[in-house]
Amino acid sequence: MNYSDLIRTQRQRATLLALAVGGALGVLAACSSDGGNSAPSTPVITTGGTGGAAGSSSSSAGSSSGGSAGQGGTASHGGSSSSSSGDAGAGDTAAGGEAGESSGGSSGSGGAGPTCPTTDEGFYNQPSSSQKSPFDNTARLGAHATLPPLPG
Amino acid sequence: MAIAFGLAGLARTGTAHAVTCADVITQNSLTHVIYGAGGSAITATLAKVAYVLSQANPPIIVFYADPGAQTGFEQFRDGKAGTAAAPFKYWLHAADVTAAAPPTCTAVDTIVGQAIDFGTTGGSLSLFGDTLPDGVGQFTGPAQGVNVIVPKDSTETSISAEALFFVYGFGNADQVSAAANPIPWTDPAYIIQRKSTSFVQQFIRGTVQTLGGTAANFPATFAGTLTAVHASDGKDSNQGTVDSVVWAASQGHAQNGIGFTSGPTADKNRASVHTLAYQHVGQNAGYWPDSTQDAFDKINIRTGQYYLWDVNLFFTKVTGSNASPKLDQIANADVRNFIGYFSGGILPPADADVNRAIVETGSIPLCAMHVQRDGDFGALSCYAPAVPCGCYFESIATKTQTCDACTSDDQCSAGAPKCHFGFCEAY
Repeated sequence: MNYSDLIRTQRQRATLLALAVGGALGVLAACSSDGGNSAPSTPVITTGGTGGAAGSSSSSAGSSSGGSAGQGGTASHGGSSSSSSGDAGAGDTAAGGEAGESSGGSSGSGGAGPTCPTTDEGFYNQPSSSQKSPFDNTARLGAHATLPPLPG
Repeated sequence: MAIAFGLAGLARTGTAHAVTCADVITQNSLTHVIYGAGGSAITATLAKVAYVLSQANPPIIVFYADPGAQTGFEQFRDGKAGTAAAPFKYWLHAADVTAAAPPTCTAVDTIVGQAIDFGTTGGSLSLFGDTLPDGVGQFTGPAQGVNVIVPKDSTETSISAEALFFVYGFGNADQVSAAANPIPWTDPAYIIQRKSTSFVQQFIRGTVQTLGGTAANFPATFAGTLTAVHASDGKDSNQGTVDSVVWAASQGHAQNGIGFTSGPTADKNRASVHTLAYQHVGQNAGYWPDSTQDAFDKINIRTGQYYLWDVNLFFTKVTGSNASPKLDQIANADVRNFIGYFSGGILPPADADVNRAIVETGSIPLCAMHVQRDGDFGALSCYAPAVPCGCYFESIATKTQTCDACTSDDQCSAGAPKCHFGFCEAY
């Protein structure tokens, strides 16, 4: 897979989804802080792939492994927009003129789509066609892989 | 007594050669001037945006001091920025953006400094135990990575959270001598660290602390050599870390050199350093910020697969409540527009492609993100921006067009029916 194909694949994955449109840009810190992964605050975007050959890995050099099952996106309801002094519009860069202002309304409270990981580990280990390079803690750190006490 | 007064006066006005920003403004007939201070993680991005805005009509002229996230925020909070020790940088010409050292100027009082319009940090105030002052609003800007870097000639390709714990907590070869393939980063002379008030150091410390247990109390003071020792300008900065890692290679220790810096800084210096893939606890492999070592798509930050990233925050005075402030609570129109361009809440004027400048320098507009994080190290969740710009982002970052170009929705197909930022998006 050359680089262009790689990017195209990523794009195809991202475009599998979702229809709903949220309002203004969502606020990143919109989730709860109880330690769990909250439901997405906006429509779900997935990064799942449409299958690929399993890749090999090496601790000394990066390798690329294929993604697993494809994951269709699911649209959930979008958020509301509370523009206060104009509309940011659809974002055409050629819009010109006076810039509209969007005041960043609250994001929608869309339900979690079936393809959105529900744990951090789910995000870290989601199917990916990206190049990867495993780090072997035991081989590289020896006893320190178990996090001994820090020096005084 | 007269001599004492004379010396005190000299000290307060700085050296005879100090250029004040007031002089620069007068000499260049500048208008729409704003001042800011913060970390250097965003400097590469801010420099390019500032230059673009300086050419717009009307312009916004930005003077920015980057003594580090914590120090910069405190200078904003206390109204004491632009000292001789940490002068304002500015970018009025294209060459200023690429220059190793852009032009600088100071406050009139080079010891005390002056009040400024905004502060910016690479992550939240909680990273250094501060809180939002009364009357100050917080606004979210683009995301960017934190990169662990090694000299270009190093053969190492990845590192883990556990290895960061060791490298910056111990830095001692004896500790890993029994390992089958011990890491090479064991000589503190070539292990480079920023000062403890920098965002990137605070972020790396917080990352190590997520390991819990022994690592939960990982200290602010790391093992290793301070960036400023080998920085080309003698100052602690993200670029100084690159300089220091390059210095390690120049001493015949390419394999032993390691440091951490902002993503934009690492991208700017790919000719001399390379980024390590990072493997967080619970992750089955290390990933680069991009899909490959050499790519620029930032896909693994945008999807949450690469752990080391955060969002830039901007701080400025607001009217009314500062809880969830809106941009129109910023009284100064130039500051409001400047922050709005970064947050995506205000479209830049047609003659100032701010988004392009942000992307070209390695930062990620929120409209290109697929995930959000609850705080600096909190839980990830899926995120879909109201007006997505993933296609636009990739067209700039990768210089490859992967989506259909458009000027209106009717030029898009059913699979990607909406035209945003010149490209057909999924919604």
